[in-house]
Amino acid sequence: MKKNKKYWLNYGLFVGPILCSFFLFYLLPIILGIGYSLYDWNGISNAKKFVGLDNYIKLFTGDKNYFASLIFTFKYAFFSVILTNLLAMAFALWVTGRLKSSVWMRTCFFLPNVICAVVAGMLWKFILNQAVPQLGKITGISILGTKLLASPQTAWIAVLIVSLWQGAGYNMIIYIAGLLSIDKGYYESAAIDGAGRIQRFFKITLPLMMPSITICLFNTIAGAFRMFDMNLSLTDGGPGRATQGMALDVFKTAFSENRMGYGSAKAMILLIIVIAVTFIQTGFTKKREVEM
Amino acid sequence: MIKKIGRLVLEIVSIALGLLYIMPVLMVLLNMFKPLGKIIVNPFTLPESLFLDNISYVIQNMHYFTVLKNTLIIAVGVVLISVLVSSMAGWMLTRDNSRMSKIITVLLLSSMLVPFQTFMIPIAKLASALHINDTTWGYMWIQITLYAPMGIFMYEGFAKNVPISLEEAARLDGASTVNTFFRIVFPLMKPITSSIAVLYALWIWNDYALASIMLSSQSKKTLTIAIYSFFSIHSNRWDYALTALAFSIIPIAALYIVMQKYVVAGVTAGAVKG
Repeated sequence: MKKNKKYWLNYGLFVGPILCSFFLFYLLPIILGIGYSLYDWNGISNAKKFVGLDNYIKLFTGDKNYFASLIFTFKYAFFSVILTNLLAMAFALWVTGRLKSSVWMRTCFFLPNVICAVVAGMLWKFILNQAVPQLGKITGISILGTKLLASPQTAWIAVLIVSLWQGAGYNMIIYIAGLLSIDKGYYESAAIDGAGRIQRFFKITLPLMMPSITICLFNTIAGAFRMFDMNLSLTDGGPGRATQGMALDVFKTAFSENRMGYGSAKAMILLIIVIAVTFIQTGFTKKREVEM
Repeated sequence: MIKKIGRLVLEIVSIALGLLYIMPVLMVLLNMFKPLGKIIVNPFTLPESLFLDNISYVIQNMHYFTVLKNTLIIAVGVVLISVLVSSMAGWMLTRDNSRMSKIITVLLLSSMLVPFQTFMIPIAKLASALHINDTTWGYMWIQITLYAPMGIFMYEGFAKNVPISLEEAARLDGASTVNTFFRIVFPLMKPITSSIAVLYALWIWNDYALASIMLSSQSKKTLTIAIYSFFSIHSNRWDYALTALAFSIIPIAALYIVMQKYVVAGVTAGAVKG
């Protein structure tokens, strides 16, 4: 295609609308956000006071609550990334077996993923606060009577359970695609060479699954830092602030406490962390893919 | 024979495991037909009779049909427009091999990594500055913009495998770019279009964050934000609260079960390689 008037007209028609909107509702907000983070501002009045990097300094020196939310987010991210991937891989192996019920299994495992995260949070509130303790009473198993959501020490486990329940199915689909793309010939020749089931998994399946693992790690890491809806509806950051994830913290600082400048600084830190973690992770897993 | 029995046991275990996994969902469906007292005493029993009071209460007090209508209008609009703009952009960015197109692609892709909460404060401010706050079309516009990169990414992946010879033949016959796209390319991309449309429908149905900051008036609320506030008010009334949840779960679960093939294909095609 020569770059004449017609070319630009077509290009503008096909790419222009979405590109303009994209600048307006993605790039511009991020730039504005950097600006807001340098102000002390409640978001409503016009009294915006320029404070430079004060918001950031305050975050890292004087804000115990922020520190707690950082620690919670990293702890949650660590466990949810590892457990979601293990569970998803196990589901994928189970579902790709020769069982007749595998379609049913796949449907069940993925179903929680299509449910709205806000709804899932509320639903699990019922399960954890009402159904499980009641089951404990009916069966006489006292451990079921503990309410995970009631204590700051255990509430994060509840958040983890719900995120596993919703996230495992999604990543399972990606692992299934990876498993099905592996050439059956490898397994046959390995079997002839006398490799056992476990050996075949570690020497053939796992290495050939590295691309899928990269994708799923990327998904789950980004998802862990982005967790918001379910966090809001399941615990609302509580009890106290025990389970206030970083994304929820941004939202609450800005829209409940009306501290737009301070909230924007938190948003920028979240952005930097997500970018940094993703780069480290993709760099790491990509390297392993090449080696294989 | 032993092998056969072993297999049968495995099948039964599988089915049971699947049921256990969706137990929380099943419990909502069971308990929406039970009065509060029965739910509290034993939430695991089947309803004894068809008790419909919860349903009629929620329909009335949550204004279910209004919020359902709002949500459906938004969902249909967003799906149609998103499919249109992302297929056009995705195809053009693939066929046009310029450096500019590559930069635009990377820029669009980068947004799939960035959490919405990192730029949600400025979005709220921008929406009120542009006077699109609390408007359905403003909400749709922003939603379409934020969903587009995923669609563009998926269309780009698909368009790479669409044979270019058909397009060239059309061009030789004198068809314009617009004509070529709508007459030839778009119909060829139908398989991925179905997947993208279903995924968009799921996302829009489930959106909470943007809707909660933009759609404040009662008459414009979507299902998810209506359910969230209904649930907060009725936090001790599990009968009403669970029924409200069912109103979100049933339609989307039904869509998923009917369109499962497309959902699975969409998730696989949309798997972003970091």
